[in-house]
Amino acid sequence: MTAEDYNDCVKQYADGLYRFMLKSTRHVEDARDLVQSAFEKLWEHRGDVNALKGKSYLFTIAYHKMIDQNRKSRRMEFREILPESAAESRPAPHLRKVLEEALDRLNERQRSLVLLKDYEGYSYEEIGGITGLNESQVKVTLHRARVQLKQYLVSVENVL
Amino acid sequence: MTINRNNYEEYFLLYIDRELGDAERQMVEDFVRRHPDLEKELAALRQTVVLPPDLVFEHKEALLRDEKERRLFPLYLWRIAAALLIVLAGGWFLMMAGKTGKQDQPPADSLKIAVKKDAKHVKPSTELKTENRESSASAKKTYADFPRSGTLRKTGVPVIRQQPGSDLLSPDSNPVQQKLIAAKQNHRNPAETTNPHPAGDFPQTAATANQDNRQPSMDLPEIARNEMLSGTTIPQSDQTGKSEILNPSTINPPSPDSDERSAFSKGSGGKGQPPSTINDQPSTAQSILVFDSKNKTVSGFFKKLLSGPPEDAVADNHRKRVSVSVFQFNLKK
Repeated sequence: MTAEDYNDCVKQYADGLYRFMLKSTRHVEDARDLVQSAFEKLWEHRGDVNALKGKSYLFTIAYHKMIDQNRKSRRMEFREILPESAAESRPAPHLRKVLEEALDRLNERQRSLVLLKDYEGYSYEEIGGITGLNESQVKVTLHRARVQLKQYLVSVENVL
Repeated sequence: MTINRNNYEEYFLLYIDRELGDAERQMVEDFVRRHPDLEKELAALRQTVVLPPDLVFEHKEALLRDEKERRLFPLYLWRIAAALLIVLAGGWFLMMAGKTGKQDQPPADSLKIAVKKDAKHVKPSTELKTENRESSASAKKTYADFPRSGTLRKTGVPVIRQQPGSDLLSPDSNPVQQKLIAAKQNHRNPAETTNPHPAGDFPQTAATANQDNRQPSMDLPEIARNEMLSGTTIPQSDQTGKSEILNPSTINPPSPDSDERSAFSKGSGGKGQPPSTINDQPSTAQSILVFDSKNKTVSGFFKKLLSGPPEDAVADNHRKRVSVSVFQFNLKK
């Protein structure tokens, strides 16, 4: 990967990686630091990274850094509430807000897998490559997360 | 495997995760149409798909990198280093080339002479002069002490010594000089000489060369130089019988039978032959002897142009070196 390839990765994937980190950590500064750390890692190892694999490399690095960071600090329990305006730039519909709440209820792995699947459109295999899980684990985890989200949505609708 | 009421949920999840192929997706859609009560189930699962928010990472510019700016040694430093290296290498090369040229450079005049002799030029006047200068320079050290030995002066060989400002072979010179002139004139006219060389083979002789009177004044080597250049034999005999100028090595070398010829003339003194000088030197070696019958001494010098024949020197651009040896024999018992 050349410097030009690296800069292309910045332009193409920085926003998506930031979304993924922000939704995963629900912490703006943490998400920003993780994004910068992932790109720094990519720059350091750009000679070993295929330009076509830049995106998955970034998400893999960011994901594992996030996991490690959460394991060390356990700040997930004390994180500041993500400002509404930072979470979304446009007014969210009601369903969208409920879905965000449901997403917050997922565990870390489930949420990450859902985000990787829905935000970035990764396949089970690719998600497995990023998270270190096999394809079956990804599939099972995602299915459980979907069912959990659906149940939450249905329950909220019933209340409303 | 087909979709049914027992496994439809898995198919629905794979459907919303876009993990099914076109055929399977069509199968799921057909199944839902056949089972409308499950359509709501599929719609609920579709709502779990999280749409990405329009979030933008606002620090992308800080992440952009420039290859040149991030080099440990910026490119301009490499360019400067390369330029310095080229300059130093060029200077070193020129310096070494200059040294080599000085060491290997023969006296340019010597090389000219070699070329002229090889090409059998008849008009070496310019080169002759330069050769004379070169020979003078080369022989100065060797001959420096020669006059001071006193032998030649005492034996009265003023003909060999050219006084500053005087013409070496002027008509009013002593008889030896006159004979030299006569010998040179004979060389100019092949019909009048037995010299096997055609007239064109002989470059300008001493007399001719000295007509310009531009050569630096020198003692014995003055004649010797010219003899060397001419490559001719000038067996001379002093009319007074006191001295002879002998030039054994300048007997023309191309003739094999002449190589061993002794050039010692039978001087009027006639008291014994001086040691014969064998003319087995290459054509680039010349010598001249002066026999003083009165004092029974033989003086002379040898000059040799080292490093091969002239043609090789020209072809290989070899540099020449002149080696001159001066000697004096006392024949007295």
